[in-house]
Amino acid sequence: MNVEVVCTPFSNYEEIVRDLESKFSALNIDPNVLLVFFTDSVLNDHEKVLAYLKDRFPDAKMTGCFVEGYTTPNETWTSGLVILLMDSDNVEIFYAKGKDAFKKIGRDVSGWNTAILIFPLFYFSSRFEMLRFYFSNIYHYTKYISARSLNDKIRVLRKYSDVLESKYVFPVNKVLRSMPRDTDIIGMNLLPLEARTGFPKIFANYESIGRGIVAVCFKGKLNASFHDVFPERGNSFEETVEILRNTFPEAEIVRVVKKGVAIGEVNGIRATKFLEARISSLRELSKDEALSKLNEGKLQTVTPYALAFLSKITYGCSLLGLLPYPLGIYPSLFDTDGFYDEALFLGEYYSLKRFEELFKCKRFEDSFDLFLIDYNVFPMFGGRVTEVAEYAKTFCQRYLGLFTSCPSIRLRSMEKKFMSEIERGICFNGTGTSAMLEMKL
Amino acid sequence: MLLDVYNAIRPLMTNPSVQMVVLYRIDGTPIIAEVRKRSARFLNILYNLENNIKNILYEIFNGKLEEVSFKFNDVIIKMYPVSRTLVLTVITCDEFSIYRLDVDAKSICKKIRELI
Repeated sequence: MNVEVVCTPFSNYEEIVRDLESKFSALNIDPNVLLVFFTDSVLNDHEKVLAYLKDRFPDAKMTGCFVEGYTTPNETWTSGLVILLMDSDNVEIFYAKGKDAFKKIGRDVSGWNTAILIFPLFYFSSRFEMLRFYFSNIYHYTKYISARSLNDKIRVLRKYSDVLESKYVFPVNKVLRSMPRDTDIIGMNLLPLEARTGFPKIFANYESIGRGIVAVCFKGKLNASFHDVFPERGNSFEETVEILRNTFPEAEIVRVVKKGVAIGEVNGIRATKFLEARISSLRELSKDEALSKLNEGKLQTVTPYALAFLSKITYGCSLLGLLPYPLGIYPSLFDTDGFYDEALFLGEYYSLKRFEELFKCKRFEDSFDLFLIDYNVFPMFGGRVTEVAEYAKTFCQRYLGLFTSCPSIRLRSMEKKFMSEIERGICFNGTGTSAMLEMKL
Repeated sequence: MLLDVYNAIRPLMTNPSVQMVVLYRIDGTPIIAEVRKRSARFLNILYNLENNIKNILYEIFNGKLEEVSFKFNDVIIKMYPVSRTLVLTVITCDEFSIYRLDVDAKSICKKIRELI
């Protein structure tokens, strides 16, 4: 396998092409696979860049998406784009969209050693879809508050959860669960830091695939690893609660009414009101404010406040960020059915240094490493994020690091009792996760 | 070398929220200044900066500060020490993506350090 990384921090088409062309000409590789990762700064020109790349590498299979930033041994940027060029017969790209996309991808992935799945966590195709989502939310919430019993409420939530799953949300644990057992899966579940309609954009064969899924499948000597910033989970609900309380002393136990990917209430009130009641500095956005922020691409998707749901299967936990969106029923990014109705409300914080642990899991010395780091480090640590590159340099020789929404994983065996292991072999958390794929050269 | 340093800071100017990038010497002399568009508002800011730059740089180097930032209404000025004699100053209007600017500015400081 021959692998090269080329990046450019420029944002306009002419500068990008000039910079890329000079870097391509210095390379000694005839790639048959391109993984292209854009940052927000190239949003206006990304289609022209794709057309240029298609023209430059007409026979190469291509996939990619938008990420928040990237790091290579020489530089760390949140602007421009980075391209991973591979010349290998052991890499294949599959993609699918539509209702049965995951079933199809599951069949394609089977038999491969490791796959990186790229899919959107939450997706609005247009402003109209956003409005439809909002009014559907209001409609179901009206039905929810007029329900007479808990069972009726759960029934409404189940119905709304089905709507969310069919149109807007790909619940991470459900997606990973549906993949074949014989393949290690790294989930690149995308949710931009600043949401806008039509985002996250995912590409296959130089075209945007909308609300679809891409699998980049690998064979050969590979090692997929995962790490989270939390301490190991406990052996019971009480033990994990105790561990979380020691980590987040302000954590408060709350009771949640939930079903699937729909959260009806937290301590008897809707999630946004609950957040507003606990954090006096936060104010619920109005519908118009939320819509205009979404249009401008400035609707924030990260927050330090979260509900920590504890798994009934593993006693691990996953955090769901709470934001002051004008919603009655709050959508979850993972299927909450396997979780206790008691959750913890907490304000998250951790040390950047904890991400160093990911690189200590490295198995091969002479490998190319592709690693994914949770993008929450940007609002949390700002410019200090460049320290991650220093950690990587200590352990890795050749690498590409991507800052993207909290990566997930499904492994055949786990080395540690990760807090984020919410189902056997499946790890996901709303914050603090990282994953790495080592490709032995 | 000045051209290489100029090329190193150019990526910052392709960020549409960045209005001005100036590389100051410790005595307050601007070595490189790149401005998105001429406007009296930014010229005023530049003028004020030049009047105070020596004191600010003194504070940065004496206090061993990693960065300094000022906010005037919607204008944010961020200053990143590059070396013992140089400071990179970035003027931006977009508070929301300031974390992105931090990362890119640190990368540029590193590049300039390697060049000099």
